[in-house]
Amino acid sequence: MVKFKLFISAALLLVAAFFQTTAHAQTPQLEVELTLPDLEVQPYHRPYVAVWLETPERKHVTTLALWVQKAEWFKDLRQWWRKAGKSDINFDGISGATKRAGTYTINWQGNDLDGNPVKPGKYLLNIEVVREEGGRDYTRVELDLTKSGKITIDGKNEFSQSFVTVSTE
Amino acid sequence: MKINLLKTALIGALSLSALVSTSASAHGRWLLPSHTSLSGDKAHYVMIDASISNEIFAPDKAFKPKEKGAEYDDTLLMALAPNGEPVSETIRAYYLKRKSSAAVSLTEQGTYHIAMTQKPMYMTFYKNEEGKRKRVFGKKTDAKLPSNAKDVTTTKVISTVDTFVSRNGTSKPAQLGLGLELSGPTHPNDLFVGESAKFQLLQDGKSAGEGIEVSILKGDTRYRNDRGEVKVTTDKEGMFTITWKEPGLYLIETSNKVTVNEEGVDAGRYALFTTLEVAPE
Repeated sequence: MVKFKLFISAALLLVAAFFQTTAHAQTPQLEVELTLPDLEVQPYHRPYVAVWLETPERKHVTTLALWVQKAEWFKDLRQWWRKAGKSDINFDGISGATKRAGTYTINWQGNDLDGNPVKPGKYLLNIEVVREEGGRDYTRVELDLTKSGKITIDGKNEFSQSFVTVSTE
Repeated sequence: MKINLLKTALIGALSLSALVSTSASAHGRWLLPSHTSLSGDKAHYVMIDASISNEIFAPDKAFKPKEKGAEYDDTLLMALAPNGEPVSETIRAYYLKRKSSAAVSLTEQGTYHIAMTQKPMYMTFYKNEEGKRKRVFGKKTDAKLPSNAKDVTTTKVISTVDTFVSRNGTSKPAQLGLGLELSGPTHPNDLFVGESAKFQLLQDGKSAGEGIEVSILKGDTRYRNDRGEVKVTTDKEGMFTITWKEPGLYLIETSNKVTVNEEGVDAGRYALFTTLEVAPE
């Protein structure tokens, strides 16, 4: 009887260990290579940029990047503003200054706002770029965070061809 | 009688035909907000223009101040703050012949419900000696009518002319509780092209019920040949749904007959003119 119990415990431990490693292996990571084009326009103001993840039901999961200056213009990142901008906790600690034209790499380690790993599955990656006295680009793509792979996102004017890499290792 | 008309605060507020017609789309009355969504730490002002026009959001006739010859009216507009209370600051609407303009101070976080004050308006209809239909402002007990007026009836009208503005986030808008107004589930400051919005039409704070036609008209009618008005009908819960095809400012119009138990009043009507802004995706 004792032996049997031990056996069960061992089996449970094994199962638990198996799930843990599986969960660990599946913690998705993202790398976004975002390119802001060199626009020959006068006046040129550096754009406000937001990159964030949503659930398929369009609920904000976490903001990966926010390059902004004045809160007065946060509202112009219309989609980000409605989903995340209205609450400081959604972007505390991740916001940075606006950037000049160039290619930037944004990394995400697979955690939600509270620092907990997100569930593997499908998510919506949002990229929004808006420039004062300029235009606005907004793109939303579905990502399957259970599969490694690389996708291309074509911006129209305010961001150039950019890449998103999902790695599940 | 002319003097009587001039004395009426609301003389400029409506066209006579708008009252006779049961069509909601006769003459648009509207508020035009300079912003519907604001962010940042500073206290904000939002500019509100009010006018009556057929070319929606292009001003034509102003709402005349209560006091004859006055340059402004402190009673034309009201604003309910996110906490549901009317804002304490006076909202001074300047009379600018074709429109009235006011700056409303926003200091709280959330959604402000801005509206024209809902003064009841009485119209008296009658037939004159030749049997022609005529109308005057005021109740039949107050209005100066020809001694031989026939078929005299008085209608009481309460209009809601409103809009919504959110500062640093949205909150459930406070309700007027009187007349017609829009309510959720969709927030009036969270409207985007390609998405559908669902609203409930409220009458005195409760579902207005089934079968009321609501007209949805995109502004800037001056710049297109087709007005492109869309009509929807409320369901059992007073709900209706719109899928936004184009960004812009829209005027939502409807009206409904109501029962009035008031001395000298034969009929009642509520009218609604709500301005909404739709963002591009």
